[in-house]
Amino acid sequence: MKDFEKKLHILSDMKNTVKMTDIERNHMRAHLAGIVHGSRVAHVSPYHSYFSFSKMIRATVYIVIGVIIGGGSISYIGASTALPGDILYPVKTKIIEPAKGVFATTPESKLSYQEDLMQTRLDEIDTLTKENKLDDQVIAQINQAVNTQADQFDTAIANVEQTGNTTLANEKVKNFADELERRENKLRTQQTTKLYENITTEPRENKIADQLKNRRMRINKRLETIEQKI
Amino acid sequence: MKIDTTTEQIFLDAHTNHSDAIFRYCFFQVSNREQALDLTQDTFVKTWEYMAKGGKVDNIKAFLYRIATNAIIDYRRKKKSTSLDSMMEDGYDIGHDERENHEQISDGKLIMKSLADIDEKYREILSMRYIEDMSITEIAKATGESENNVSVRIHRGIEKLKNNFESRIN
Repeated sequence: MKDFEKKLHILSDMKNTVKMTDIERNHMRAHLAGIVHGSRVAHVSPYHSYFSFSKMIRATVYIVIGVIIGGGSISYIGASTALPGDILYPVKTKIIEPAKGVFATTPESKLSYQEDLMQTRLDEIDTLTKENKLDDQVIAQINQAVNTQADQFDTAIANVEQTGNTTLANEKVKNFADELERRENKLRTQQTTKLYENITTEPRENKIADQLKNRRMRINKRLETIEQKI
Repeated sequence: MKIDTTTEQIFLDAHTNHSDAIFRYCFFQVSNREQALDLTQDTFVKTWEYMAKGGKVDNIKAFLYRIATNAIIDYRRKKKSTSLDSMMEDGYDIGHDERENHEQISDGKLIMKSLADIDEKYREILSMRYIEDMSITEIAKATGESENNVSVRIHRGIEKLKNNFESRIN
């Protein structure tokens, strides 16, 4: 029994292998920070002025979103959970998401914001795959969305580099490359399973996986450039 | 009710310090990465809701594990957990480090599969003990059980795990 118990200490190695990626952790933290700060705003004293500058800016942004979205039969909730191929998806990517980025003012916070958006794009791929919603049009849309988002992430990295924080830039790019590789491998596994089980004859997941791989190759070249500066 | 910045800082520090451990705990109970992320986030949201209402938390680590355990129980009521094979598909693999010897990798994989097969109440405790290196006292606080019960459950859990492990080898 004691010999077997010694074997169990192999399990503690999992601390190094089973953990959230930086993107996942930051995404969660941003969500929680939003809840925490939302709680703080909700409990402000009634004697506090409601006309502070930052509150006016936020109120304006929310009103604009409300007018645009509330002007028709479009619902905010429907837009924020839309996927590529859904009619509300452009509302999500062109109005709702940019509005959330208004409050990211430093290069680091902008990078964190872009990381969250990249995670959202990758999660959308997961959902589309699970719900078998991949057709040629959706694939084209998600590939374009991933490319656009990756370009914005790249710009945010460059801005952080310019502040001199090459260590942070290096870490974020490496994590991003790792995340892309993980998602690519997952897609290819799912594709293989579907083809093997005759669920499909169309290599749709592979089309997205190829896009992620291309992006990862570009990122790896960027990583080499950053590492030379460190 | 006014929420002070100390409470916020305690909460956000708890996320920094314990989010990976809670994620691992959830992951080994539900065998699905995305679900584990959801459960981890739910755990922290519920913890914040409790703290924001003025709830006192003496030991935040233990509190998080209790909330996570309840969240997992609720999840299980709704859905069945997936197999270990799907964990591998999600990108997790034991022994990725080439420096480890093959026997250890092989044992590790078998132990993982055996852990997934044993009863949930033993899997929870063994995960806390051998993956998170928690002490008996910490596990007792996290589960709300007595230290004696925790020790007994660990011992029984190891027996069941060992039996499962050996039957896989044979």
